[in-house]
Amino acid sequence: MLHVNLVVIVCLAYVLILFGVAFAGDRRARRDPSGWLSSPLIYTLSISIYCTSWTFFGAVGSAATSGMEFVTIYLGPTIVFAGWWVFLRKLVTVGRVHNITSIADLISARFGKNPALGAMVTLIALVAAAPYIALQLKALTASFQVVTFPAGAVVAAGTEIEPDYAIAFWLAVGLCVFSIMFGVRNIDVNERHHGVIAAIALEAVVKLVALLAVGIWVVASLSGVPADVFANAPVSLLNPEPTFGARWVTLCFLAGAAVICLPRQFQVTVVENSSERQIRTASWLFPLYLFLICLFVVPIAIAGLNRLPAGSDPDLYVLTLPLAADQNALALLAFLGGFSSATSMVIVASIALSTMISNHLVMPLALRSILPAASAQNVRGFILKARRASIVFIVFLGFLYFRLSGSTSNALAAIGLISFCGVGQFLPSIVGGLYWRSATHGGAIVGLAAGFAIWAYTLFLPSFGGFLLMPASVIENGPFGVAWLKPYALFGLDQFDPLVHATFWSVGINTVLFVVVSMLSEPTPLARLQSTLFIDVFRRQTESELRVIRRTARLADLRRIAERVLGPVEAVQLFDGEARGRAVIASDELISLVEQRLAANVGAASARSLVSRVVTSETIGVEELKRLADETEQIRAYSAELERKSRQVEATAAELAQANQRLREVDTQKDEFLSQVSHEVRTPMASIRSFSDILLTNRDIGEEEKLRFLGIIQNESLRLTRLLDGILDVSQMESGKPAWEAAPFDPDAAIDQAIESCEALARAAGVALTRTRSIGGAVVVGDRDRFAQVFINLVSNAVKYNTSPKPTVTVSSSLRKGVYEARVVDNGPGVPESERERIFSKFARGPTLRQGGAGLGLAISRQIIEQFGGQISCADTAKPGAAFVVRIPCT
Amino acid sequence: MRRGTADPQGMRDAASLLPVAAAILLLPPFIVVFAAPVLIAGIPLIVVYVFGVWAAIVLCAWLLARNLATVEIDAGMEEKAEARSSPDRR
Repeated sequence: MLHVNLVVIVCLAYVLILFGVAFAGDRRARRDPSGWLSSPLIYTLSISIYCTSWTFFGAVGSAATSGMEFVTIYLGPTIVFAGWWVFLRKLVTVGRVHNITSIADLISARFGKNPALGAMVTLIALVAAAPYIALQLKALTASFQVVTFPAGAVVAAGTEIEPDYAIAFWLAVGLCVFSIMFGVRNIDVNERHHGVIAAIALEAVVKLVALLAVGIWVVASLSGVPADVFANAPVSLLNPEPTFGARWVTLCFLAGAAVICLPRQFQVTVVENSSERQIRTASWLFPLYLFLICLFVVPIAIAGLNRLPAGSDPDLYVLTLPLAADQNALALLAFLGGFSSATSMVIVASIALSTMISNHLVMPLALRSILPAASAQNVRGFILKARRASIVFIVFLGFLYFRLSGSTSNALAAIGLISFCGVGQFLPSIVGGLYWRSATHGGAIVGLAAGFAIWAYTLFLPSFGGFLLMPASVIENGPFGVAWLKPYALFGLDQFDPLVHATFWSVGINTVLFVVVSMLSEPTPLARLQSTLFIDVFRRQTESELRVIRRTARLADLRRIAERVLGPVEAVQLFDGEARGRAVIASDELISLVEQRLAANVGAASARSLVSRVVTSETIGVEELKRLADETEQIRAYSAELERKSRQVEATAAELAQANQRLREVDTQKDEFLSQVSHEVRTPMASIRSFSDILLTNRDIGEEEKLRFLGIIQNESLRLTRLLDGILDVSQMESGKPAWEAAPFDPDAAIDQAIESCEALARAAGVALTRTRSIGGAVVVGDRDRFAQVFINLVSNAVKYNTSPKPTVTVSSSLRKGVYEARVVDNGPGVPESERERIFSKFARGPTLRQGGAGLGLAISRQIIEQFGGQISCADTAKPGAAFVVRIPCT
Repeated sequence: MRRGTADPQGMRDAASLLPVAAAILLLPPFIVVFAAPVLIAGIPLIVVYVFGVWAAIVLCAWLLARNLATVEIDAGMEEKAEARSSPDRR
């Protein structure tokens, strides 16, 4: 035996060294965050907290009783790590990119930062961790009692010793102190704990060296020939076929799931990860570590079976073998190895769980009641206190489980597997969350709840052997004697052992419900965004995701929150740029940044509810979200955009073609116009020229004749002037610049004036000109002279073209509903229907020409009336003759 | 130390296949083949098989990790080179 005092002193000295390492590690990491403490080697060693006292003592025990089965616990993680490229890489990258603080944070953040989900995962993890921590306390206590047993270790291992709960209690206290001192010193960004990591890396080396030392000693003391080592091997090794059934597969699966889902493994693998380099090295180094740890397990087990008296506890062979051979130094090293593996597990597990409890159970409650009123220092203090209290709570929960189940003598491996199956419930949500877009928080909640309930019913509660909640009769016969509800044989499925049975039902139903409910429910917009961010974590996403959520918050409010949780120093850094800008409203980027920093401290769900308190409006752009959603969607959007553009281009081309067509028409019109103008100008010019020629060459023309010729020349030049005036008028009005002033006037008076000036013409042509008028009182705004000109044109046209034997022209006017209407009606030949529009164009003349005109009169009239905002048209008439109607709106 | 034979896509495919191969080799029904009561140099066949496969997985994972590292370093250097060839001068 080893003396109690010696063991205690060695343990205390070892713990002091650990304290020193943790302290130095913390200091070093503060000076140089990317130093060797972040190296892949330290990272891998910290992951090896997977090997707890279950491995150190239990693996040998398991090998002695069930042969090769023990390796499943290490083969599962080996497959997961060797296949890091498939799953672990994505998980670790998501954790690093999104500052995930725990497994509860990951699941709640993925499903829309759902607080209920975070709380639920935390509770499950807490319940599942209790047996595991109890296992460590049990192993520590048992190993201490055995090495210090007065009658010698061999006797101790052979007799049933009642566990000494006082030792377990003081161990628990010591573990709490260490965890609190180095795990919860500050609420660190990203929850990285360099000091603790350094200490557990040292412990990882100690336990590996200790187990290897015992193994080498066992082999060497047997002359080192393999045949001797494996002589008298148990049947389970020599004929191992029954080992490879459903239980083998189940154990590999659970171990592979546990190396991701155990809160402490998630902490060291995902949360403490700082680069892909680390996980890349761990992908082979961690399997190598497991390989080495397991290498001598079988020889030690066989040696224990052969050399120690029958009935010795196989879980303690690692200790009792050296003690039986009086190798006290080796026994002490082995004890330290077991001590290391147990303490490092409890420390990291309690730190990881305390973060989860404070972020997902305490904070959401505190946010409702206490925190709104608290000051900056109080909030940080409150979080720290919550975490410290959580650590004590977790460790003593494990102690309680140990105390309650202590008298049922379960092997270490059996207890550990209960935990494995419990945390295995997280696997469907995590895998689904990282690869399946349609996974919803409803599916996760229902699946987790069902899986947890079934696990508790079929594995956890029966593990107390009838002492807690579930009486022994229920385990034996089912509740109220209902046989198909027996915890170990649900629905009559009784050909499997309890672990396979529980795993099948809990994980199976969990997965089925997760999938079915996810398909039936619709994710919230935020959950949709989070799923895109998580699933497409390797796609380069720059500022595009920031634009999806639009929020507004007052800068001062946001700053207050940041100060309270992050502390004044970091808040100042965060708001430095904004404060100088003297902005009042915080930008989307700043709000997101603050939320990210908060999430790194208190978890995504709590960070979101903190930020939501000061955000006054929040919208999630559905269009942006859709565009972000997946690549196919993006490509579709892109091609739709292309299509739209090409349609636009087509439309523009058509417009251009149309404009071109119009330009051609206008060009032809212009040519026509020019040729008409020159034609019109040529006729009077020709007569002027010929008559002036006659006058110049023939001096002997009579005076009377001369006067006649001069008269013709004058008439023709007057006609020319009128023509040119008309052309000028038309072009001026067509360019849209009326050269006249607008003034209100009475249109009836203007028409009277026009008729007066036409009377001479009418009399000469023998046309009877009549004027009928309405009550009057109409007022039109515009140029009165121009208006009169229109009627002069109309009346003179009516006179000119009237071929009737008794020609009459009637001008009437009326005012109806704010529209002034004037009609010029004659009894001439009229205008054929087909000509009624053409006569308003330039140089168009009536079909029969009695008196030469420029053909511009009606064109000018239409321009003038349109300037007045009215219409002029040639109307249908019942009687023969033409009727021109002018309509102008009155003011 | 750039290794000319490292084909990035091939390495990634191999990295994805490794866990599948490991699972096939270590789970029933395949593993049952080696569960015969045979001794090799005094060691049960199943012990030799499991630890042999395990060592092989570690070796493959090590080779893959090395190659993936060089692949990624190459990719990183290409990116940097690109960045250098098109400097952002304002």
